Amino acid sequence: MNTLLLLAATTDAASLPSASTFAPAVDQTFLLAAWFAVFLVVLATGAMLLVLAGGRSSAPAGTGVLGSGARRVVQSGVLVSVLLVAGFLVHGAFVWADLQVVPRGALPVQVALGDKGWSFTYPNGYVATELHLPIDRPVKLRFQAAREPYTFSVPAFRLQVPVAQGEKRDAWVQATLAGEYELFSTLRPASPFALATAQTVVHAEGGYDKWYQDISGPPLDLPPVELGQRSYQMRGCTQCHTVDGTKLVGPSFKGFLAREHKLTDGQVVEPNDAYIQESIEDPTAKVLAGFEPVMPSFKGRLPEPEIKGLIAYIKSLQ
Amino acid sequence: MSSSTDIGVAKAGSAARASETTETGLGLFTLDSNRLARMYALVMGLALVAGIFLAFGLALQPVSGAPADPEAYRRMYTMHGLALVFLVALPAIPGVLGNVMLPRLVGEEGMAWPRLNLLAFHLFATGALLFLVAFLAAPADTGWSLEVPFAISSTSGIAWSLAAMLSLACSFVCSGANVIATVVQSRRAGDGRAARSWSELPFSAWAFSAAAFVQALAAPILVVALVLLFAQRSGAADAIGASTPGADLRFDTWFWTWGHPAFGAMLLAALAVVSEVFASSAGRKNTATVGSVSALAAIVVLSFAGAGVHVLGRGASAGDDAGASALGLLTGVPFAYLVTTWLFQLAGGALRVTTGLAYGLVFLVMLCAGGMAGVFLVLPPTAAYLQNTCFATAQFHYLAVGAALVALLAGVYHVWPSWARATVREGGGMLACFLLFIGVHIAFVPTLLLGYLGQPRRTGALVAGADDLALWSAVGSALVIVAVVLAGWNLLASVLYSASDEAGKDGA
Ligand code: HEC
Repeated sequence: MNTLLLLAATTDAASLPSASTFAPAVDQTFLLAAWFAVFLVVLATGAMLLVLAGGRSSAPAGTGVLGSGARRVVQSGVLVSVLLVAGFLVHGAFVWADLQVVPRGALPVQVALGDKGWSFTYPNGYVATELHLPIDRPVKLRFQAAREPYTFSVPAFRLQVPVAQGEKRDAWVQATLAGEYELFSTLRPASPFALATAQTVVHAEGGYDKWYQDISGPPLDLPPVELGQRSYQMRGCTQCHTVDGTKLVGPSFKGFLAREHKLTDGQVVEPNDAYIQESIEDPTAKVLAGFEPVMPSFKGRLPEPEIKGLIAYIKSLQ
Repeated sequence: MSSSTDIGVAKAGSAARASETTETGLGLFTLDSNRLARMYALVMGLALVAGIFLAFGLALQPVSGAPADPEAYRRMYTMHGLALVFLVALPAIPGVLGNVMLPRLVGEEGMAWPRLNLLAFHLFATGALLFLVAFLAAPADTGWSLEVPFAISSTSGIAWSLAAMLSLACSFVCSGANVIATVVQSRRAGDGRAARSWSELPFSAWAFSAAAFVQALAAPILVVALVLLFAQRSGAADAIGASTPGADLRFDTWFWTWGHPAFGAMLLAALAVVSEVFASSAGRKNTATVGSVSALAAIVVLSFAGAGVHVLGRGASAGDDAGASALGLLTGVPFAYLVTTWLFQLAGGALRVTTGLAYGLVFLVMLCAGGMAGVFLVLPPTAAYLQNTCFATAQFHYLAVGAALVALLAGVYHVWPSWARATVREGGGMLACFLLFIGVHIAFVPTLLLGYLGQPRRTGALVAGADDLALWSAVGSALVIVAVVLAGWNLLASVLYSASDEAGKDGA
């Protein structure tokens, strides 16, 4: 049994990376309990073998009442086990408390598991299908409620967070080793062959900020029209607008300057810079005839050059 | 008070058998507890074989690359769990050994209420039949622990299985009441016998009673859980509150308020059997002491109070979770007390080494391993990480296989000479025992390590790095099958061959 454990430990289980601040703490508890368990099981196995091998001794039949020496051993055994229980609990409580208390200033990421798999929403509104994390910085994970209970498990972090059906929950993690790790839910009764696996990407030093900048928007030093075009693609304008004349939830920007812009109150507006900027920052101020006022406001969410770029881009479309 | 050695000593011989020749037929309506035990053993044996073959199929699935059929896989692990939990783990020792051992332990002819005893068996057999119908016609696919909310929306029929569980819950109440009545009645004066004090009861009678008390008291909680789920599924009432948050947590709380004591009762029954095997092997009385009875009482209380460990970290307050952890850890103390006491007692005197004793000792090792694995599942840091993983599966199997299979075999081998009136063939018995000991570790040590890798339970897809361990686990479960079949054959052969020996003698 012991050799088996060691054998197994040298293969798969030992290769599990230790990639978060929790991993060493959990491993420590795990190893402590494991050695204790192995010790006791080996002791019990030894006692078993001794009894079986030395059974036919000629000693007189025991009375079943323990001698005072044996009784003392049993009593101290009980005492030691109670103390161990207390010790285990105190140690466990510290590790647990660390897990519960989200450090201040942790980077917030919203986590949801839906029919289409995991989604991770970043502070700038960007929705990723992989979990991107900075190294050595605490991240607050805000789990969104779902119809089915799920867990967020990343073995490399030694982290598993259960999220009850229909409930929200917070947890946090601080990655300590760059790399890509498996992320899944251990509660998937409906699909026991698909664990809802996703990747967790821990970026090396500086890598996360660069990634975040990339998802945050285009480089601001591009020429305005090009900047506007990138922004148009990255900021989700394409969900409602097109540039080829197709009408979606919103109007197409094709031939923007040449077209008539008639509002719901019948007024026709001049398609100048101020109007475009107002449409982006306060879209319900002037609502186009034939459309619903559903466009979200981008006020405060785009840097000034990007707005200028969008205006230039929209005006440039023939 | 009966001397415990009466039970174990071989009394095989044609004279003894001759007096039993009138006992023919299956005994479907017998009031004789020995024959009823045989009926229990028959049904259980079939459920056990079906259950472990399903287990082998489950272990094989991820390593064999068999086509993935989610529903078939779910049904397989559900029926494996239902058959083995409800037809073997919980009723095995009370049904088979309770009926054989208990009357003799307390110096009675049979159980106090033979008709209630028969009713308990009929409810058990009805449950087994309902599971069989379920298995053939509409297998449940919700996991044996009825995973809500999946169990609410599952389109597999689960009505047959729920009915089976209901029938078994009633059976547990009847058989539990009977055990307690038998023990209480045995103390009364009668048949030229003086009334006896509680302190004269052997330890095993206390342990059997404790097990019966817990199992019977817990069973109605299972009934509540079953009714809640049935009402919810049938649309009769929003019993679990399926659309309000936390339905999973609410149902699991009900379920484990039953489940935790139910498995506590399973362990208590195993303690009853194994203590008797040890005392008898050492040629001494199985005396109940203040210490050992207090340990039983502690286990009874903790098995009811400790159910919180099954929902750790899932929404209860920090205080509740800490309390549940502490109670879970403390449960180890009375067990440790009993085990160390027994080992010292065994070391103290001359021993008859038998297959029964060997199984008894293997049980101690598995109890130790399962108990210690349980520590990981209640210590806050590891508990959070390991829940829903194979670690929990392996921990549970160490205890359930240890108590329901190994301790059962310890007792069966122990009573075999007087129950089956045949001489145990120790060589084959020991070999099967050794194979089981090895097989269990090869199956479940890798499974514990799979849990450390994060491998979810009830899942046919493996996480990174899990392949070798899963393969070992499958090898181990094959060994367990070989060991169980060997033990069964060893027992049967002892009866068949001794019978043919005699036939030979008669012909000469
Ligand atoms: C949720 C859908 C939606 C998104 C996303 C969206 N819009 Fe709109 N947008 C609309 C709708 C609907 C209208 C027409 C009603 C109105 O004027 O509010 C509109 C109107 C406009 C107009 C005025 C059009 C005209 O012909 O007068 C501009 C300019 C505009 N959007 C720019 C943007 C930009 C730039 C983005 C991305 C940063 C964007 N929109 C994202 C729905 C959307």
